[in-house]
Amino acid sequence: MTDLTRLTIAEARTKLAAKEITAVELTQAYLGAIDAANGVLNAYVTVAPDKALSMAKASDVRIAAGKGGELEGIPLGIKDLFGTEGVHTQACSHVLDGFQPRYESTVTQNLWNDGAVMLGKLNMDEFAMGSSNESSYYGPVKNPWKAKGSNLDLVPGGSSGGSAAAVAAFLCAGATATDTGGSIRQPAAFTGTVGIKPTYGRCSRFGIVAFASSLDQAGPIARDVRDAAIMLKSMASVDAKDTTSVDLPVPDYEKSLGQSLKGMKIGIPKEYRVEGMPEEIETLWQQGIAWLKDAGAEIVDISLPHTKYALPAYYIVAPAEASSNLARYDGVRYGLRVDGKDIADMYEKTRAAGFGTEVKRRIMIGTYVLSAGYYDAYYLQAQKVRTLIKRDFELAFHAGVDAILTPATPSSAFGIADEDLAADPVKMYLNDIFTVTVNMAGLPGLSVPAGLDHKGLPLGLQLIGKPFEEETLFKTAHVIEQAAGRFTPAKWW
Amino acid sequence: MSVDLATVKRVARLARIAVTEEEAQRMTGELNGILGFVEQLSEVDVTGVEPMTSVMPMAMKKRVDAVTDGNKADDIVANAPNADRNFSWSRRSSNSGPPNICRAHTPNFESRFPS
Repeated sequence: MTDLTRLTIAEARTKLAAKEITAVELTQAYLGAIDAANGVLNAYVTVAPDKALSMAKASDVRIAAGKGGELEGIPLGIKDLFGTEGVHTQACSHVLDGFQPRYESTVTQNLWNDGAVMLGKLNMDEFAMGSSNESSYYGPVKNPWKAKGSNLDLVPGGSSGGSAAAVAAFLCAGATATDTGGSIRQPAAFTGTVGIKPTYGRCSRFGIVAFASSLDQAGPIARDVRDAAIMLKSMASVDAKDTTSVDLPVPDYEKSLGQSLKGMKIGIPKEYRVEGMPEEIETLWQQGIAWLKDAGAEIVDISLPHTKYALPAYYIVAPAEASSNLARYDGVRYGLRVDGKDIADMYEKTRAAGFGTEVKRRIMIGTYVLSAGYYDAYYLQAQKVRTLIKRDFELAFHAGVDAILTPATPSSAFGIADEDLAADPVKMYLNDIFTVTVNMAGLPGLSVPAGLDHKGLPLGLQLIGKPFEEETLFKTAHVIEQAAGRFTPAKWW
Repeated sequence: MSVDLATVKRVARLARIAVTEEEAQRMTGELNGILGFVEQLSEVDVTGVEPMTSVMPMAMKKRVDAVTDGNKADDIVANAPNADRNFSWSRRSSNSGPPNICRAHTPNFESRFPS
C-alpha cells in the first residue's frame, strides 16, 4: 500500500469520498509516522491518539452516510496556541503548566465542524515570540531539511516551527498556525511549505492565546497552495466572540486556482532589496518576476518608503501589547504557581519561573515603553509610523497594483543554537524584515516555495495583497508553484 | 534613550517579574540594544499623522446589554492551582491567618490595597 501520509488534503479528500481509504486508516498512518519521527523532530508537544481515532471513526460514519464535511477525515496538527477543549494548550510556556481549556477556539471548532481530525498539539516559540522555535519550553524543533552534505540540525523557523516541520515531514496533512510578525510565512519558507496570514479580521482570534492583539492572525501551513486554500476556507469566519472579526462572506478560495493573471499588475518594492541579502535571494526574486510576467502579469516598480521603520515600530507595538496581554499569568487562576511570602511575591516568583528569557525581554520592553513619561515617545510614535506604513501600501494599491511580490525571508534556515543570533536579539528579529510590514498594515501575505539555495535548502517568495483579497494571492501563488514545482526533504529522521 | 540598572529593576517590579542582580545586568544590555534599534523611529516626521488605532476601518460591533453567558463556576476554577468552593485561593489554604481570596482579578491588587 502507498504511504497515505504522502497524500495532499485534496488527494485524500477524493480518496475518502470515493471510499478508497478510510479516515481511520489515514489517521493511523499519521499516528504511526508521528510515533516514528517525533522523538527526533520534536514537532508535537502532545499527541492525542485516542481523540484522533474517535474523531476519525465518526468521520467514517458521516462519510458512509453521505454527510461528510469539506475536511471530513483529514488529520491536522494544531499549534499549541489554539485553545482545544480538554487538551494541552500551553503556548509552549512553563507558566501555563497543565492548562487544559474548558472551551474550544473558534478556528479549531470551524475545522472540527467541517469534519477534520485532530492529531495533537504542535511545538512553537513560547507565546509565539521567536523566529526559530528555540524559545519553546519544550525544546527546539528540528527542520526536516538539512543542507547538502551537512549533518547540522537546522531550525524550522518560528514561531509556528512545529506546524511547518510537521507539514514538511508528513506528520500531518496540514496545520494551523498564527502570525504576528511573520510566524506563518517565515517557517513556511524555511521548510518548503505554503503558509498564508490572511487579512486581520478574517479568522476569529477567540480562544487563541493572545500575544499582540492588533497583529495576531491565524492561518494555515500546508503542503501546497490548494491545501492552504481548502484550510483557510474552513478556518475563516465572522464570530460574535471576536469583535475584530469581519463580517464578509468567505470565498471558495480553491476556485481562484488556475485563473489567469492576464491584466494583473504586480508591484516590486525597491525597499525590499536590503543590504547584505544573499545574491540567491535576489536571483529567486527575479525568477519569480519572470514567471509572473510569463503568465501575463504586468510588472511595475513601486516604492514603500516606510518599510525600514516597520521592524522597529513592531518592536514597540508588539511588546507593548504583549506586556498587557501577559499580565494575566499570575499564578492565581491557572497554570504554574510559585508560592511567596505575600501575593506580590507570589506573582513575581511565578512569573520569574514561568516565563522564558525572550518572553521576559519583551514584557520588559513593553512595560518600559508604556510606562509613565515614555508613552508618547515610543508607543504613540510607533502607532503613527504604523499609519504611514499602511498608507504606503494603500498608495501602491490605489495606483493599480493588485499584489506585491517580495522575498519571504532574508536567508534560508539557519542552525539550531546559532551563536551569532543567540548573542544579539536584534539580529534574530531581522528575520522578519520582509514579513512584519504586512502585520503592521493588517494585509494578507502568503509564502510559497520557489526554489532551493546552493545548500539545497528551500527559499520562499511572499505575495502581499489588498485587504480581503486572499483569492488574488492564491491564484498568483499557484502560478509560482506550477512553475517552481514542489519541494520535499529527503527523509533522514 | 537608554536604561540603567535601577530603571531595569523598577520596570521588572512594574512587570511583576522577580529578577536577580545578574539578570538585571544582562537585561540592561539587551534592552539598550533593542531601544537603540527602535530609536530610528524618532527620525520619522509624523506631523499631522493620526496614530493607527484599528487595522481595518470598521464600526465597533455592539451587542445587547444582556447576560449571554455564565453559570460556569466549575469551568472557571477548573485550572486553578488552588481552588476551593469556587474560589481561586492565592495562598495555600493551610496557611495560618486570613487567606487572600481572588475573585475579581486585578494584577496590582496588592499595591492599591495594601494588606
